[in-house]
Amino acid sequence: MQMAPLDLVILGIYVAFAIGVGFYFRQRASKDPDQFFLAGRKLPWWVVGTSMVATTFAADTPLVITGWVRDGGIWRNWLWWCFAVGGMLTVFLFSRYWRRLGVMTQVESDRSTCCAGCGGASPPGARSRR
Amino acid sequence: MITSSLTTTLVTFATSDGWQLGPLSPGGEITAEGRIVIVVLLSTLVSLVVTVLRPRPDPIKLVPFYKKVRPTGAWGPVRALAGVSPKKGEGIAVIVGVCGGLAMIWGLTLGLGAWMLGHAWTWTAFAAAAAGAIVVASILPGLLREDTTQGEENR
Repeated sequence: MQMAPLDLVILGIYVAFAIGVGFYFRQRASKDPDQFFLAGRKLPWWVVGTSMVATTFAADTPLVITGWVRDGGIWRNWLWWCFAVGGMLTVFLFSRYWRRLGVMTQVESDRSTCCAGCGGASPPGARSRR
Repeated sequence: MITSSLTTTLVTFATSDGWQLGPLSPGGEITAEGRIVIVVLLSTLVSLVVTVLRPRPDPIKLVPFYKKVRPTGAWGPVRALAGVSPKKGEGIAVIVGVCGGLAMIWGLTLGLGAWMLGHAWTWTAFAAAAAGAIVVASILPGLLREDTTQGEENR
C-alpha cells in the first residue's frame, strides 16, 4: 500500500500525541499501579465511557459492519447493537461491584470470588488496596 | 468459566465450515447469527452443568466477600450470616436502570435511522429514548453516589 504524504502526517501526529500523553502524565502514573492503570480511580464518567466504547472498536470494525449491512441489510447491525445489554449491565451492576471490591481487572474480581468460595487467600493486589 | 470459554472457542471453530442446521444455515452454510445462537446456548448449558456439579461453597467462607460487595440476588444463606444486605430496592433499581439505558440507546439509534429514512415511527423511537434518558438520570446518580463513597472507604 502506497501512503500519501498526508497519511504519513496524520500517522505522525497520532504517534506523537500518544507518546506526548505518556510523557505528560509520567510522574503521576509512576506513583503506583492504581495511578498507572486506573488514573487513581478519579476519571470523569464521560472519559471512562469513551474508553469503554473505544475498546470495542478495532481498525477493521467499520469494514466488518459495512460488509454485514451490504450482505444482509441494516438489521444485521443487531449483531453488535445487542452488546448494549452487556454495557448497561456493566454500568448499573458489575462496575459498582468491581468498585466495592477495589480490584483492577475482571480476572482479579473472578479470583476474589473464587478464592472466597474455596477458602483460599484473597488476591494480593485486592488486599493491598483495601 | 474456563470450561465455558473453551467450549465456546471449540464450537466456534467446529461450526465455522460446512455445517447445515436448518434455519441457522439458510444458504447452506451456517450464518454469523446462527453461530452466535449455538455458542450462547451451549456456553450457558455448560456453565449451568459445571455450576451444579461443583461442590457447594461453604457460606461462611463467602461472608467477607459478601460484606464487601453486598450483591443483590439469591445470596440468602450468606446474607443471613453476614448481617448486612444491599440497599432496599437496589435490585429493582438496577433492572429499571438497565431497561432505561437500553431504551435510550436503541431509541436514539433507531430514531436517527428512521428520521433519515423518513419513517412514520421516528418520534416514537425518540420518545422512547427520552423516557429512557429520564429513567437513567433519575436512578444512576443515586447508585453512583453510594459507590463513590464506598470506593473511597475501600482505598
